[in-house]
Amino acid sequence: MRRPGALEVRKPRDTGNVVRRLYPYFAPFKRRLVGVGVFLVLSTLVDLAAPYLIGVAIDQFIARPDSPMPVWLSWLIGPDATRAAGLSTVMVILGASYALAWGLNVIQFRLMVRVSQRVLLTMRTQILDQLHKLSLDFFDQHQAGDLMSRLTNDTEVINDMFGPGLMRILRMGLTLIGILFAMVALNWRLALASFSILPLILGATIYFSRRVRQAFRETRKTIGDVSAELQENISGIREVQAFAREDETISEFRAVNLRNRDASVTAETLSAVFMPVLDVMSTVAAAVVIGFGGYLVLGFTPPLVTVGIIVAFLNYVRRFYDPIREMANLYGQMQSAIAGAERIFELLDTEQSVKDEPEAGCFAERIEGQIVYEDVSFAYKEDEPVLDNISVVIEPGQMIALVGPTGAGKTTFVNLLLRFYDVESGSIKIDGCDVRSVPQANLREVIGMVPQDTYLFSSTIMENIRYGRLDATDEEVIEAAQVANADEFIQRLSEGYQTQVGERGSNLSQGHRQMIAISRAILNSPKILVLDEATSSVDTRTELLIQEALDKLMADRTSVVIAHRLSTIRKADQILVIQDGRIAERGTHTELLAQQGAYYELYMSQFRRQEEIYEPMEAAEPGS
Amino acid sequence: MKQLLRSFRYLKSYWYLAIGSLFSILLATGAMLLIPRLQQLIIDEGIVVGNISAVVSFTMAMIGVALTRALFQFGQGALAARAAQGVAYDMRNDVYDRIQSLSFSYHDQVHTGQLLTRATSDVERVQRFVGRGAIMLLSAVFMIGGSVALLFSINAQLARVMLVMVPVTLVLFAIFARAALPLFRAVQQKLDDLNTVLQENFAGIRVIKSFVREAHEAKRYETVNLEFYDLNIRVNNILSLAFPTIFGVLNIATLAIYWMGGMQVIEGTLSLGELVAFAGYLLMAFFPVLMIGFIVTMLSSASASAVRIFELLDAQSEVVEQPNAIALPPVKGHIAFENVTFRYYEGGEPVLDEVSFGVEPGQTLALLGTTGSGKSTIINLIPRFYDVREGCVRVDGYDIREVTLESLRSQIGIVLQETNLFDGTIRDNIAFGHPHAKDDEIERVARAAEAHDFIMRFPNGYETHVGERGVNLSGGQKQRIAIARALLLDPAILILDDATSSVDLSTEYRIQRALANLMKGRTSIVVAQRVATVLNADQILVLDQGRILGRGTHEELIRTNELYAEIYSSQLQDDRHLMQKVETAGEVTQ
Ligand SMILES: Nc1ncnc2c1ncn2[C@@H]1O[C@H](COP(=O)(O)OP(=O)(O)OP(=O)(O)O)[C@@H](O)[C@H]1O
Ligand SMILES: Nc1ncnc2c1ncn2[C@@H]1O[C@H](COP(=O)(O)OP(=O)(O)OP(=O)(O)O)[C@@H](O)[C@H]1O
Ligand SMILES: [Mg+2]
Repeated sequence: MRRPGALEVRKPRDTGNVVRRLYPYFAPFKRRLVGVGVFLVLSTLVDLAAPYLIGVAIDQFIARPDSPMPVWLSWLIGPDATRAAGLSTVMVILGASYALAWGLNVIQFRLMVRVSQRVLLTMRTQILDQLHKLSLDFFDQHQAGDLMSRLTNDTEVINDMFGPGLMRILRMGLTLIGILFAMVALNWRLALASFSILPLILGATIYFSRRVRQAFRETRKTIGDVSAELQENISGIREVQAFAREDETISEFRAVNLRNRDASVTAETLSAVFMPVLDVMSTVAAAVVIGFGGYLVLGFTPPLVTVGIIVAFLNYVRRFYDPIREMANLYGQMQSAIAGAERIFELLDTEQSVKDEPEAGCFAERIEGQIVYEDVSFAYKEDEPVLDNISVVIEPGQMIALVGPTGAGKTTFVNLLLRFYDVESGSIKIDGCDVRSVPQANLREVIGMVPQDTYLFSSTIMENIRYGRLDATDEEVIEAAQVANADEFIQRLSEGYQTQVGERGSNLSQGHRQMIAISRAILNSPKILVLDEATSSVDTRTELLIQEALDKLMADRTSVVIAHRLSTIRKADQILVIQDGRIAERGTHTELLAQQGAYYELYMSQFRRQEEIYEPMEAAEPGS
Repeated sequence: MKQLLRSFRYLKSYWYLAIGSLFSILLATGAMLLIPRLQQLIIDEGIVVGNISAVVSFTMAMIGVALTRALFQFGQGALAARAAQGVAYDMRNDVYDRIQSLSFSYHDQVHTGQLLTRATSDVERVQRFVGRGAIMLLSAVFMIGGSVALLFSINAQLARVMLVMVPVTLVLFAIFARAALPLFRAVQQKLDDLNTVLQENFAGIRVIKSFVREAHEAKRYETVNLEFYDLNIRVNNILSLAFPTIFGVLNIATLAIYWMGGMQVIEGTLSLGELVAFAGYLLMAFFPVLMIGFIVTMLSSASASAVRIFELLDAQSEVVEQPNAIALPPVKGHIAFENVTFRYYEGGEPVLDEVSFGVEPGQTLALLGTTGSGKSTIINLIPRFYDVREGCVRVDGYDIREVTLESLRSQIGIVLQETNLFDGTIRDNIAFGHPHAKDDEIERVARAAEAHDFIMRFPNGYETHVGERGVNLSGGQKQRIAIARALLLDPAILILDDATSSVDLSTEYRIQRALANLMKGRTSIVVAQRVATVLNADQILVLDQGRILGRGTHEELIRTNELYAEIYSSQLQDDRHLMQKVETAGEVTQ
């Protein structure tokens, strides 16, 4: 099965904008970054001094001294020093420069890493905060798997890039410039000769790195498909096996896996061309230096260049092509980091559709629990209305029940009460106060909810229940479980409350999962309780016990209950029959039966089939 | 380490690529070793003695050697890519096959995320080591050996510098690696933790929002995040020392060569060209040393990954086909449990205790009982999702352990209690068992499951995307799609595990009528909570804590079975009187 919009890989759209957005993250560290910059320049200079010093040592002392001594050197050792003493002096200086470079490198690396890790720390925190702010429609539209792998991938790439990566790029740039200067300063003729091959190298680098980048982008896309396929078929493994679809999914997987293999081979083969080509060119450049240098030495009297300078040039040429190669590599990384940052900013910029008002007030300390829906209409997608002009008044302490065909909009009704989505028109008020005028957190604090899909965390049963009230003691947790009738089965488990819950509760029966979710809501002890088919998988006898306990608990609280079992809702103060997003009937159980409308039909359907099949059952009833 | 060696078996099908790549890398290395030598000749035979033609010819030779080297280098890269990616491809296929074949008991214990890591990043690491690392290791050793030998042939005294440099570099590397590796692992672990929190925040967003636990989650995340930050800083502190220090060794060695060698040139025992060549070989010997260091580091993470991969590949599915398993012939529909006692894990409490029952072809069996009494467990045993150890399950008289899984499962249509839809269109989901089903087939089963009407109400009809796990549908809509999906198999045995718990009574009633039609002459097993759902079953089993407390038809049970009567009365009893009142009231008003 193909998912739409699986992991797309792309180039950054607006690099300038990303850089602008990144600026505030780095701004607090301005002084440190300036420090890094200074150290960077210094260490590059020191690095560049080494080939020069070696060249000097060769020319002045190792080979026969046939060129004038640099001023600084004659000042240092005097013009008449022996060759051996001179060599030693230069070597000591070289050693000192190496030591200096070491220190500078250590310090700048540490400074930079600290800054970039801080930035990432902030970014990750912001991502989670943003996820919490986003409303549910966002989660309806985005696949968690995709989004997750993108987020982790993107932060990782950014991590690699904005730490050492950025510094390497700068350093390489500086080195390049430094080398150019040094070469021209040492011997412009030889410098020009060694540059002659430069356009070729640049051309090849640009050409290949672009192709290689494209190829690797393709491999990232195909590996994304591989993960998507895995994700989907592992989480659906029970269906795959139940429908004996292993062979088909395996051959589907082979196909995406094969595409990934081929894309990877192509990309790696391309980069296998790239490196040797650059290597040949850099050897050619070295050959040019030596060959042309040899010509300059031998073809002219006095020679236009010294052997020491040729050796220095050999060193420089080697160092010259490395940065070009490296920068080409890093450029690719940089691009994906920027694209990653862009996606993260996109997520951070996503507007929440449900927003707190700026001057949102709060509920009073104790609310009464009156709920009023006034002409509420709602649609998940435009032009597909789900609720249509719903008006209800629920008095404090009342229990109201929603029944109706599946897909009628019952869950939607309560989603709106918790403000998971905002009404399209009309309003919902609690104690006369529009739910949009209080902060979402405050609103949800007064409402306890057991959703239709039970979600349990991968921790112990104890922790799962405690999620309802974080500061609850173990005793309070157990008490809540007792109310929900869950204590008994939990005690029967070999590890009791400390039993680890499998992924999504896989090692518990469906009914038990629901009972844990109910315990959680009971512990939360809210003023308004919403049960969305909370006991649909619990057997009716246990359900009855839970209900009796809840009745006591809910005596002075308002509750909204959705259920298909009519036994569950019989006691409701008010029953709403919802059909096609409208309230078709309302009243108590007895009133609605007397009306002989939709509710009556619904209710009778459970007897009708028994009458179709069996004789009237009077005879069967015990005690009759 | 043992597991890592095992991974090399994957290289077997690509041995010619591996050999070719090894061969190329040796030739490329050999060519590379020639270059400093040629540089030396240019200086000594050409420049120093003033022989231009020597300069020219040696320079040409150098370019020729460089070209040869490039060719082999490319050959090495291209061949290694094919071998390594081949290994990854095969390994990933094996991992996937194994995941698909492992039974429910395995999947109960592992998380999706863990399996995903194994098939992606673990395979990646092993592949990199097996496909490349090992060959690079060989070539590195060759390169060090070659350059050291050449160094000795030029000047034994200077060559001793190398004898110091190589071990010192390796020792330094080992020291840093020892300090950094545990931290690397810790960083990886923390990253997993971070992702787990993030994952849970996605999956449980509704719970988090409704209990207003955003701050709590943020705090949890912040804690891990800060630990992750600290670990990263610590790793980088080590790295910030490691690289400059190791390169420092190279620098010191270079310095020593020029100093000592310079002195020798001054004394006349060494030529200038030799000194320059010497410095070149030094570089050549150094990088392989670094490479060895990296590969050894890689080795430890690759071997951890290999252990994880083989742990999965070696996992024995509890449910395995016997070698002489036969294909189950077309099923008539007889099912029997004979003294089945079942535990989910060794030594656990029995979930089913001596359960025996039989269903005749064409019958409907209903399972009713308290929560957690073992209804789903019974159902899980029929398609052999788990294996029974005591007792046996038979279909048409065949012990299901003696037939092939595919022949058994393809004749059973099942709707699991927890509905899981795939992210795709409604059509794709219904056609899951038969991807090539025709549209009218799909529509027919959708109608039987009472799904057609609501599907047609969506603007895109059957092409509507259901979203991840079906988030865009209501609970009852999801269940009805799952029912249609099972019906499309046209199964001889249909199993419904509480498949209509989120469906309203009248819709359920219509589904039942359609099913009664569709399943005429076939066996159905139905788990339900509502007595109304099971009234017309041929046989009802009443379960409690893994035991059958009663069996029979509704009429029999209502008289004889206390639990059944209790469940029944919790649903209907009170109302019969009320209803009669209403009905009489209705009659009166008429
Ligand atoms: N997140 C969503 N995005 C788009 N459409 C949705 C979403 N959730 C529900 N719907 C649609 O809205 C309608 C009402 O769904 P709702 O979940 O409110 O039904 P329900 O009455 O609770 O049904 P059930 O009893 O089956 O749970 C359905 O047609 C459903 O397909
Ligand atoms: N995968 C599993 N691993 C370990 N224990 C399990 C697993 N599945 C179920 N159990 C345990 O086995 C017992 C029976 O569970 P089962 O799912 O069969 O109950 P059920 O009768 O279907 O209940 P419900 O009506 O709630 O669906 C329960 O105690 C449950 O905790
Ligand atoms: Mg069950």
